[in-house]
Amino acid sequence: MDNDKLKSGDVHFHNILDLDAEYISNLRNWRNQDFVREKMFNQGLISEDEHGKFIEHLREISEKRLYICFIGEKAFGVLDYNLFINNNSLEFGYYLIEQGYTNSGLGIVMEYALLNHAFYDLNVHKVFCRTLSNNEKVISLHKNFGFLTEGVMKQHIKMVNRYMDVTIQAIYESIWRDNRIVIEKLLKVMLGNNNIGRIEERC
Amino acid sequence: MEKLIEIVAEILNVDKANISPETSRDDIPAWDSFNHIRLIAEAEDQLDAKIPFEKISEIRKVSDFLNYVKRK
Repeated sequence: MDNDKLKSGDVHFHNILDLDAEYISNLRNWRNQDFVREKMFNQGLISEDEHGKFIEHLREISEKRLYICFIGEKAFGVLDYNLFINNNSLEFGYYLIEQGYTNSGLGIVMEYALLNHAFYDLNVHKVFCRTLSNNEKVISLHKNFGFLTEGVMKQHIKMVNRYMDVTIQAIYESIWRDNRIVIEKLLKVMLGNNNIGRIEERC
Repeated sequence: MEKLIEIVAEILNVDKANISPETSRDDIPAWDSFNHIRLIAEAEDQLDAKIPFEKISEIRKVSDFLNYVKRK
């Protein structure tokens, strides 16, 4: 956060474990907002105890990582992934921390950075994600990146009063190699002279 | 405003009659992240607008674009 070269509009990613404790506290508040919870498989409120265990899990399991995404010094999103070393694959998810950011293009920024990190830093073979099937805009967003829909798990998640379908989508490096050019053109419009930093390993 | 509404209608593939200055991102299913950026690109190109990156998320309805148009 004290990078002198950082411009006010640059995007950068920090592992939650490298940030001050206030961000760990903020993370639970962001995650517990109604508009965030309603897109999650677990829609319940996360207690302090559950959150503490989750953070401990992050400390212990290096294959699971969570990043806070910033524009300049302002946090705008949360990105997490699980690396499956034996299968050389990665599952990811993300959310925006203010409702006003929804459908604003900031998801494109996070997904772009994640795919480059997965394919060119971690060298995974496959990146995949699971999304509640009623979250059509996010499923459409993934398709625009080149994700292929591999299936729908019917009535897979039990909510309070109903079962929800879950859509599985995946992308491979060969697809991303072609599609990233299109995404970069869009990002150029968005970012102007600002830059997207890399998702890096822990300090 | 008329030109702006034409751009929005074309990018989102909806009838102009269904677009007003108060139409917001939540009102139209096709106004997703990708189309939001396409709208910004077209507004900058056709309306001589300049929208800073950190302000992009603040554009929530059609009339918000006018805040960034140099020649209104």
